[in-house]
Amino acid sequence: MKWVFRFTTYCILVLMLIVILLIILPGIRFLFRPGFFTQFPKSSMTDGGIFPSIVGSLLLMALVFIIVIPLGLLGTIFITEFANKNFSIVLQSLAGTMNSIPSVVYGLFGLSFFCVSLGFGTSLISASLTLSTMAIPFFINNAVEFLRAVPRELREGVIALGANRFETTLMVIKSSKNGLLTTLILTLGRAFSETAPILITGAVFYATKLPTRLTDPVMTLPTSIYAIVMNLGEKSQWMAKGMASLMTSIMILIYSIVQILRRHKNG
Amino acid sequence: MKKIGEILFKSIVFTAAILVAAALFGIVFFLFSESLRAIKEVKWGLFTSEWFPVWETPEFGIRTMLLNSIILTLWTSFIVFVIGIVVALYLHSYANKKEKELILGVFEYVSGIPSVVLGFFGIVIVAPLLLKAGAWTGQNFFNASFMLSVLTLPFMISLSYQSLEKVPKEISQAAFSIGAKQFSVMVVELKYAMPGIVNAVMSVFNRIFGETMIVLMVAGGSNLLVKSFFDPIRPLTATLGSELGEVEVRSLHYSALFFIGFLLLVISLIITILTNYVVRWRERWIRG
Repeated sequence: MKWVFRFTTYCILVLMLIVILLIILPGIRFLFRPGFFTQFPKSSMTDGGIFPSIVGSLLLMALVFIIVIPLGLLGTIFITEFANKNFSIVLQSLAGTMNSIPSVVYGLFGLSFFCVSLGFGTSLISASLTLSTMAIPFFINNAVEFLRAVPRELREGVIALGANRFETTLMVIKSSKNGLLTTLILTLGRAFSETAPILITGAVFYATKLPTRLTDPVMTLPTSIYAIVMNLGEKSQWMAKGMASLMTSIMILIYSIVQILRRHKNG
Repeated sequence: MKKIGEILFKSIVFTAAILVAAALFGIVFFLFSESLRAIKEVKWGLFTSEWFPVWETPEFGIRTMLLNSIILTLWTSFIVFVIGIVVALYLHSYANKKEKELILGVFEYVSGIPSVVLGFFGIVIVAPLLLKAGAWTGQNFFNASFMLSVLTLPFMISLSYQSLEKVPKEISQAAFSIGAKQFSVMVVELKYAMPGIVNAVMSVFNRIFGETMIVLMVAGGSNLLVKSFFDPIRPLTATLGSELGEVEVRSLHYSALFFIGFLLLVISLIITILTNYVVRWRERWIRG
């Protein structure tokens, strides 16, 4: 019996390793091409680089970062420090429920609310607001555990020293900063790899210039991969390979950092 | 002065939390109100089998896509469930510490691969292999199901592994002490970990049902009911992904697409609520 289990496990492990390697290796040499990161794509994406997609993804992540940090953190603080028990259970299960909604549904919501009703159109701001709507519940869901894990005695000790609510909260955040950092990195990683919502709310397949205002549409890494594979021929595929390799390497980096942080926390 | 600051702080955090709750209601509201036009004008026609949104007399039947979605999801979750349980049991019962760390680490990396990259992988690597093996198209049910399994397996494994690890040591020791073999002990542990595993399976189901990029890229996109493993199919989410970019805002087609989204939302909410209910019920059943 043991050997059946072991065999299955190792088969899956090898399969997964093959998948990772086959994604990273074919594209990795393009990452060292001169100009891959600094040039615009040329002659229908058969030449040049991925500069606009990188800038688009970075801008998007920066905006998501700016929106998610305050709202996510304050929401989490309210749930763990201020709400009474029933209310915090309600809010937490709301966040849990939102976390399980398919990402394309967020895209639809973003399209109808941010793009059409608020009139932002297909733009950077619509895409980042949509991504943030999706990322905040994810952040709260994970961060709540870390704030809850701060021992009661610590809170009581700080209050006994005469700290007010605000100072107590600061202390709680400080003592769970590793966990919060992990959560933040994972949240950004998830927003970075999400495609469907951006595809609907903010991405264009080809832009000749960089976005200069918040209402400009953007090119991003994931949507460019999709556009190249679906619409362009074999000659452009090298660019998608390079981008897939880049995105996967970034995600592996993110998860490595998370694993290190986790180990650090456990001593 | 201090009092005012405290009230201000409290109201800021309160607003942030309420915004989250408002977002959920906003999502439900916007998806429903945008799909209202299709519900009013097409009525039960929405559940016929023909989807021809840009014809002279357009048809908006989603039945075939819905069935394809359900079949694909059920089949893939079943595969993921079986393999996931086996791997989780191996990690829990047999693997040593080094093995556990290595295997879970690799799976965590896989769980980080963006779904669009997995779709790309399905097109560039799996599809040509399938063609060589004799399938008449590389983008088909099998390919989609395979890539979806790669996407969700790490998730299934780590969730069921965690709930197996939470089974109290006394339970398995008690089973061993009355002479149970390793296999029977595993059955006992599985039973105890059931709430967590049910939760894992339902989440996997939910994720596969709502996953868009992979099915959009590798499922083939033909609106026919799947009859064999190598038939191309088009699930609900693939239609959303491919048609939303080009549709005229507030047209009937737009509204019909929102109806699909609304359906996805409702199904996902039902699954989530059901999961919570079942998990709580099983927990009570086990722990008395």
